[in-house]
Amino acid sequence: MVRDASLAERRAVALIAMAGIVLIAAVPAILLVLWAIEDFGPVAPGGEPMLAGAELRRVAYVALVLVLAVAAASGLAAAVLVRLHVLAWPLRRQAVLVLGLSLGVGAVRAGALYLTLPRGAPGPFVAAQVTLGTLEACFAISVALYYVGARRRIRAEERRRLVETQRAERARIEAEEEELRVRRDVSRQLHGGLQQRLVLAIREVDAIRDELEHGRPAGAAHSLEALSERLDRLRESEVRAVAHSLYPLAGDFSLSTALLLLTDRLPPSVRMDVRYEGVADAVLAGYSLPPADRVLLFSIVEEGVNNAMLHGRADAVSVVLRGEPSTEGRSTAHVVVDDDGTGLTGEPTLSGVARLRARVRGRGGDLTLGPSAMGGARLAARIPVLSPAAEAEDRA
Amino acid sequence: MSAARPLRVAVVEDEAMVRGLVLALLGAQPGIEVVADAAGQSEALAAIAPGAVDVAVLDIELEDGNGLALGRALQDRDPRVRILLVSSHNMLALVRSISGSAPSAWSYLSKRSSTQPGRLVQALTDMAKGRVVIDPALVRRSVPRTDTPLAALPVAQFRVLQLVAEGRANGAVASELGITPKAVEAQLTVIYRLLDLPEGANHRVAAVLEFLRQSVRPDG
Ligand SMILES: Nc1ncnc2c1ncn2[C@@H]1O[C@H](COP(=O)(O)OP(=O)(O)O)[C@@H](O)[C@H]1O
Ligand SMILES: [Mg+2]
Repeated sequence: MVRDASLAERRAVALIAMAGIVLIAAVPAILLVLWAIEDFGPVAPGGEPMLAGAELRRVAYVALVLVLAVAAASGLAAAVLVRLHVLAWPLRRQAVLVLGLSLGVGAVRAGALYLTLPRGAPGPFVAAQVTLGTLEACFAISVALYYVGARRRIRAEERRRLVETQRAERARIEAEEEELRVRRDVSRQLHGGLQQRLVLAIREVDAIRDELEHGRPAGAAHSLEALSERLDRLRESEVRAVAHSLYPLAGDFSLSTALLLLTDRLPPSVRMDVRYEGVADAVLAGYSLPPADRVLLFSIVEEGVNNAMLHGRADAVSVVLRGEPSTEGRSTAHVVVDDDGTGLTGEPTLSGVARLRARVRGRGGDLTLGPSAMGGARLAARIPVLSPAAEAEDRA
Repeated sequence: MSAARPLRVAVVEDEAMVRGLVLALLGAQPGIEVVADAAGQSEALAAIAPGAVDVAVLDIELEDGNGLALGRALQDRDPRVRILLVSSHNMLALVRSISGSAPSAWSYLSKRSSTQPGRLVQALTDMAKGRVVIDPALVRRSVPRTDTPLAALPVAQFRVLQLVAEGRANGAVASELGITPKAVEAQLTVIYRLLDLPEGANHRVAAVLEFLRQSVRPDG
C-alpha cells in the first residue's frame, strides 16, 4: 500500500497542478467576457459597447461552464486518487484551513479589483471573482501542501530504508564476526582438548601393548577397560562441545527440547524453571520458529544461566519466554532470565552479553542486563521473529 | 511373551555402519527377530506395519526427521509398540518428558551401549517383559537434585531404584545386591511412598520417571 500510495500521490499532485493552471489561464478570459457583458470593460471610441450583449452573454456562460466543469472534474479526480489522505483527520483539518485561506485570498482579490475599477463592479462580477479567486488559491495551496507532504513522506521512507540498510549491514558484519569466533573456538577445542586427549590415549595404547609383550594380560585388560571408558567420555563431552559450537542444539530441536536438555546438564544444586507465556507459547516452544531465531533465543538463555551460576553463584534460575504477535507476519519474542545469585556489582565489563547484544540489535531487537526481583541479575531480550503461523507444530 | 514367538524388532538408524553392526548383533541372537530396518523416518513408517513390531530401536538423528517424531508416529499408529531411543548425546530429559504422555514409557540407551551385544540384548529382553530400561552408564552417573525426595532417599534404596531404572527385574536386583527378592519388594514399597507417586499409576515405571526427573547428569 505504501509504495502505491506514493505513486498515486504524485499523479494526484500533477493533476491538481494541471487543473490549477487551466483555471488560472481561464480567469483572464472570463474576466474579459464579463467586463464586456456588463458594459464595463473596454469600450469603443464612440462610447458604444464593442459587441452585442446577448451574444456575449452566451459565450461567457459557455466559458464559465467549461471552466467550472474542468475544475470539478480535476477536483474529483484528485480526491479519488488521494482519497485516504484527504479523509484522514489531520488532513481534514488541513482542508478546512486551505478553504478558509483560499476564501480570504479570493475576497481580497475581488475587493482589490472592485476598488481599482473606474465605475464600481456589479454583483455577479464580484461573486465570480470571489469564486474564481477562491478556487485558484485553493488549488495553488493544495498543490503546495501535497507537494510538501509527499516530499516529507518520501523522505521518511528513504530514511527508514537507510536505517534498514544500515541494520542489515551491521547484522552482516556481526554474523561474519560471530562465524569467525565460532571457527576460532572450534579450532581451539580441536587443538587443545581433543588433540591432547588423543595424544594421551595413544600413549595408553602403547603402554597396553608393552603390558601384553611382557605377558601381563590381566593388567592389559584392566587398562583397556579404563581406556574405553575414557574414550567414551571424550566422545560424549569434547566431541559434543565441538559439534554444538558448530551447530547449537537448538538448531536441531525445538526450543523447549533444547531447554529441557539444558536443564538436565545443570549441577544438581541449581534449579531452573522454564515458563512459556502469551499467545506464542506453542510457537516459541515448537519447531516452527526458524532455526536462526531458535538458536539466538537459546543462546540468550544459555548465557543467562551460565552467568547466573558462574558469576552469581545462583541456586535458582527462572526463564520466561513470551511471544507477542505483531503486524505483517512478524512477532516479538521476549526472553527473561532471572536468578537469585549475588547480582551485579558496579558496571560490569561485558563480553558474552555484549556479543549477544550485538547479535540481537543486528536483528532490530534489544538486550539488557540489570538487577532482578529474585535478588540476582536479570538478562532480558526482545527480538522480532518471523511469525510462523502456517507451519506444522511439533510438541517435543 | 511366549517362548515360542521371538521378539520382533525394528532398527532405524541413519549411519549405515552402526545399523549394520546392530543388525549383525541382533541377527545372531536367538529369540530376537529383526523384522524391519530403515535409515530415515519416512522409510521406517513405510517398512513398519502396525502390529508387526514389538520394539522399535530408534536413533535420534535420522536421514529425514528425527527419532522423537518417529517414535510418536509409531505409537500413534500402534500404542502397543515399545520405543527404545538411542542417541550419542544424553537425551534422557527428553525421554522423560515424552514418556509422561506416551502410551508406554520410552526406554533409552546411549549409542555406545546400543552397540555392545550384552547391553542391547539385555535391554530388549527387559523391555519385552514390560519394563523401562534406562542406560546403566547414565543411571550410575545420575546425581539427585538438591531438595528433592530422591535426594532424601537412603543410599541402599537409591541403589535399588537405580537398578530398577536400568530395567532389572526384582530377582536380578536381589542377586546384584546380595539380598532376597522379598527384601527388594519391601524396599520398593518404601521407595514408592517416599517418592510420593501418583495413585493408580504403574509404580515401577512412575518411580523410574521420577528418578529421572529428580536427578541430573552434570557431565553428560
Ligand atoms: N547473573 C549474573 N550475576 C552476577 N554478575 C553477572 C551476571 N551476569 C553477568 N554478570 C557480570 O557481568 C559481567 C559480564 O558478563 P558477560 O558479558 O557474560 O561476560 P563473561 O561471562 O564472559 O565474564 C560478568 O563478569 C559479571 O561480573
Ligand atoms: Mg558470560
